[in-house]
This record gives sequence, structure tokens and C-alpha cells, in this order.
Amino acid sequence: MSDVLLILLPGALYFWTLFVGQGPFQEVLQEQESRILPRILASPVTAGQYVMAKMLRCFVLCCLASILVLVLSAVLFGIKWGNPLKVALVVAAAAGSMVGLLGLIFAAARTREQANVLSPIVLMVLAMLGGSMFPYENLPRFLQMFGQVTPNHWAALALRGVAQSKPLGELAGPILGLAALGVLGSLLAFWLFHRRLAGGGRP
Amino acid sequence: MKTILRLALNDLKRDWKHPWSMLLLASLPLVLSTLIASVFGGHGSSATMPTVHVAVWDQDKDLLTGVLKSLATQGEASRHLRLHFVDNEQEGLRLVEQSKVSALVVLPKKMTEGLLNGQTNCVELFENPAEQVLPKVVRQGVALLALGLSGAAETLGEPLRGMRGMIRSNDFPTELAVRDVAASSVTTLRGLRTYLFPPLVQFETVPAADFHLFSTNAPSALSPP
Repeated sequence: MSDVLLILLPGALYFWTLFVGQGPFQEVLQEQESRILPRILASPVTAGQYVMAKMLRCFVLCCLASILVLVLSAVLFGIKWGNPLKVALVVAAAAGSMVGLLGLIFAAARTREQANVLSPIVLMVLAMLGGSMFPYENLPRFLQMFGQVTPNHWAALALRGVAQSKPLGELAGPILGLAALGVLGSLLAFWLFHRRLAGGGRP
Repeated sequence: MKTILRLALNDLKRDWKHPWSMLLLASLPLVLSTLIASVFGGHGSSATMPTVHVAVWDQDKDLLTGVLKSLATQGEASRHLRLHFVDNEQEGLRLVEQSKVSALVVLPKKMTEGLLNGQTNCVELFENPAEQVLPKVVRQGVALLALGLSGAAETLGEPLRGMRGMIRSNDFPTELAVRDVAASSVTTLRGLRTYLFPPLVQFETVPAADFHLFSTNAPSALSPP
């Protein structure tokens, strides 16, 4: 059982943890639409600080959800995830990429409804291509070409690699991919959110 | 920075007070993966492999079909394959209709003789339409069997003919005849040594997590030595 779970779980973990991380960004749009945000920003809190706090919360929630699944799977099914430090590094990189990805989706959406439609579409497509729903190796070759540049695939590769005790050098590619998405996506999302909230957060 | 941390902490405290939706979402990957793993081969042992029941109408009753019967009672095959020998097609089809077997295999008359004389034979297969997977397993098995029999008849034709003659003869075989058959078999097998000893194609069991589709099919494993 643990062998099969080791193939399925990393991709599924990334996909479902993204839904956990959506909460903070949904709140940004919700608070803007319900006119709570202008009141928050009228207090000694800048738009930048507000967005950064949401991103930080998203990062913490994604880390906690991932760790919870990893610990539970180790306890219940005896999956050996490998070196805890390497696992922590992968979890941090994956959570960072989730912040970047979700931040971009929610910053690009104009309204909460738009975000609620856009987000599942993007997440599902990435999950299908990246091996979160079917084993990546079973996808046709042309879909694998797209799938290999998805964060789902990178996260699954990195987690599986750590479990297989691969050296960090071999995992550098997927981990750097996740980190790059995290940094670039977060910066871009921060800039988009900041620009949107510059007027005091009024809808 | 302090403000950011305070804002995030306040929100996290709020999440801590109402954790159920997040816990539910976080548990989904584990629940779904476990379900999928348990459906698709999560048990990981051959003990859970089903036994394939096959009805066989053997019209040949000769050397090769006798060998086939004995093969089905040996080793792994004895645990996963159960042959039900029937006396006619109707009896076999009845077993298929009652879903007692996954397929009916009809071995034609004079199959062994035909194979040894280089004639084409036709093995009939009736699959149970009520089953999904096992009839296809039988179909694959019959295709493999046909290939194996045809190969065996082609390469070991002469010693097999000698062996068959000895078995069918009412007299006790002479030492010379036994020696001839043995010598002929050894000579043929020596010619196949490159492919059979060790076998050109070998099976290896690896943990699913270590399985890499393309590395196991590396060209070096497929090319002749």
C-alpha cells in the first residue's frame, strides 16, 4: 500500500493543499467587496502590509496542511518520507509556490466570482497535467510536455525524490522551479494587489 | 514587519478556532489516495490475485495437450489457474453462461499432430461477456500459448515427434531410440543456448515507487548479447 501511496500522494497533496491556501486570498476579495478593507486600511496598516500578512498566512496554512498529511501518512501507512530537513525544504518550496500561484490567480481576478471560477479551472488543469489526478507517466507524450512545467509535477518529483533518498543535487531542478514560482509569482501578485488596493481598498 | 506578523497571527488564531473546513480539505489527499491505492493494487501481494477459471474442451488428447494439462497444475499456475475439462462444446458454454468460468478454450482434433507436421491449427476461444478483465487475461494467455506451442513445434519438432512416437507405441522404447531423442533435444537446445541460458528476457519485481517506465526498458536489456 505504501508503495502505491508514495506514487499517488505527493501530487494529490499539492493539489488539495492549494484549496487550503485559497482562504486568505478569498478574504482579500471578500473584504474588499463587503467594504471592510477600506476600514482596515484606514487604520495604521498599509496595503502592502495587509497583502503580505495574507501571503504569510497562506504560506503557513499550506505548510501546516502539507506537514499534517505527511505525518498522518507516515503514522497510518508507514510511508518513509526520508530526511526531515530535506522534506522541510521541499514543503517550504511547495508552499511558497502555492502562495505565488494562488496570489497570481486571485490578483488577476477582478471580483470574487471571477476568482471562484478561475481558480478551480487553473488548479484542475495543472493537476491533470502535473500528475495529481493520474500518474504522470501514464499521460500521453504530448501532455507530458506540458505537465513537466507544472508545479504539481515538480512538487511530486521533489517529495518522491526525498522519499527515495535521492541526493539534493538531483532534486535541485524541481525545488528551484517551485522556489522560482514562489518568488516571482508572489512578487507579481503583491504588485497587482498593491496596485488594486492603492486607492484605499474600495471596490 | 511586526504589523505583518500581528495581522497574520490574528488571522491564524481565527483559523485555529474554526479548523474543520481546513482539516477536511487537508485530509482529502490522504483519503482519496488511500481509496485509489486500495482499488488499484494497493494490497501488494499475489495472494489476492484472483483465480482464473477456464473450461477446456480437449479434442486432441495427445502429447502437447497432456503437457498443457500438467503445466496448469504446477507452481504459480496451480494457484491462479483452474482448468475445468469438458466433454463437449455445449457443456463448456453452459459453464460460461453460468459464469462459473471466464472462458471456454477448444483445442482442435489432431492439434499435436498438425503442429508437429507444420500445419496451421485453430484454437477457439469463447469469452464470458459478463466479465470484464479475466476473459482478456485468458485471451492473452491463449495467444501466448499459441505462440509458445508454435515456437516449440518449430524448434523442438524432431525430438517431440520421437517422444510422441515412443509414448504412443505399445512397445517399451529401445535404448537407442531414447538416446536419439535425448541427443536430438540436447543438440537443439544447444543452438538456443544464447537465448535461453540465461533467458534473453527476464522478469524482475521492483517496488512501485522505484519503477521508472523507460529505465526498465533500457536498450541494453532488449538488445541481444
